[in-house]
Amino acid sequence: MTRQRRVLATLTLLGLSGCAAKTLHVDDAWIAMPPPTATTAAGYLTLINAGSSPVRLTAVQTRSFNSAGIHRTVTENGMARMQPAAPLTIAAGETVEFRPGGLHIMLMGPLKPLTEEVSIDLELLFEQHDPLPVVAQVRRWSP
Amino acid sequence: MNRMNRSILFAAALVAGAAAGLTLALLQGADDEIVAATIFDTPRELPALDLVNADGAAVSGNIFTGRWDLLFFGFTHCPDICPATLHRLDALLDTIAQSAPERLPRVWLVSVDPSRDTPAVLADYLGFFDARFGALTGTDESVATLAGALGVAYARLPQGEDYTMSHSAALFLIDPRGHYAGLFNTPHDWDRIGSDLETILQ
Repeated sequence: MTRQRRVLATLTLLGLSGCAAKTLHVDDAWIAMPPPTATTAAGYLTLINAGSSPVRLTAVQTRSFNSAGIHRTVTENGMARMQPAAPLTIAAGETVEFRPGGLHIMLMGPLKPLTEEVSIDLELLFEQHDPLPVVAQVRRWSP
Repeated sequence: MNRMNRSILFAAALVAGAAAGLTLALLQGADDEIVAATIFDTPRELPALDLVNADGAAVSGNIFTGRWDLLFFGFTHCPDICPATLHRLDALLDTIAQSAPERLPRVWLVSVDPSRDTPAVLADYLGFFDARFGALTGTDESVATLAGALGVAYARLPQGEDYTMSHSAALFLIDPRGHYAGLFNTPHDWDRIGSDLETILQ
């Protein structure tokens, strides 16, 4: 094997292992800073399933709130309401956006002040996949 | 250049000029067209109010006269759509304040959860969003009277030991005479709401 080929082989291996570790990953996790008196907050993120099989998101847990859930705001006939959205299947290759006015992590009963730039540890739980730790930063609302 | 070529060029310039003029006219026409709002042919009278504002002061009669008012029905325990809508309305008011501050509408959050949304709770909540917003709450009956007049539906939904609310997410337009003039129904397209409001507030 020439030196060039060895380098290529090493790079390929590195690339593959990097891919395997990131089959299922989260981008841009944030919590909309709620009013100081609020008893609820909403978290948003992008969940990417880059793997070759579907996964099912079953729950979310955190030590920073009394309870947390996967919710969706649905608007039907002009009426907005929240409904539980788990279990949520994310197909192979699918990207699911949690965004204001749609899917969100419903966070109830904050156990610490949700001031700007505070980081909150969340854990997404799946069927047939290891829990996925997520760090969501509290920040001012953006669309 | 011979004469024929010159006249072809002249004709082409005429066509191009006409096309540009037509495009401009169409664009200007589109600017004034209402695309997101439903505006009633005849604005509807509202019943006398019997509510309380965020200062705890009684609100009676019709307080919506004198300028345009935008009403949103929500509640402070709402984590997603209410904050999202209020932030959008805040940005909308900023835009109007820059271009036409004299036309700034009043924006009201009317609580569909008056038992938890006391005036003090609403004052704290709105202070976080925009000092220009007003809030209205009251008894279940008095909120229902205003909601009924605007065709707003809402309901209490159990959520574990707690409860949440389903509610209309439309934005309601009250004209300067204090009459219910129309609404922005969901889903909201905020760019269109912004350009419609520019036309409506003129």
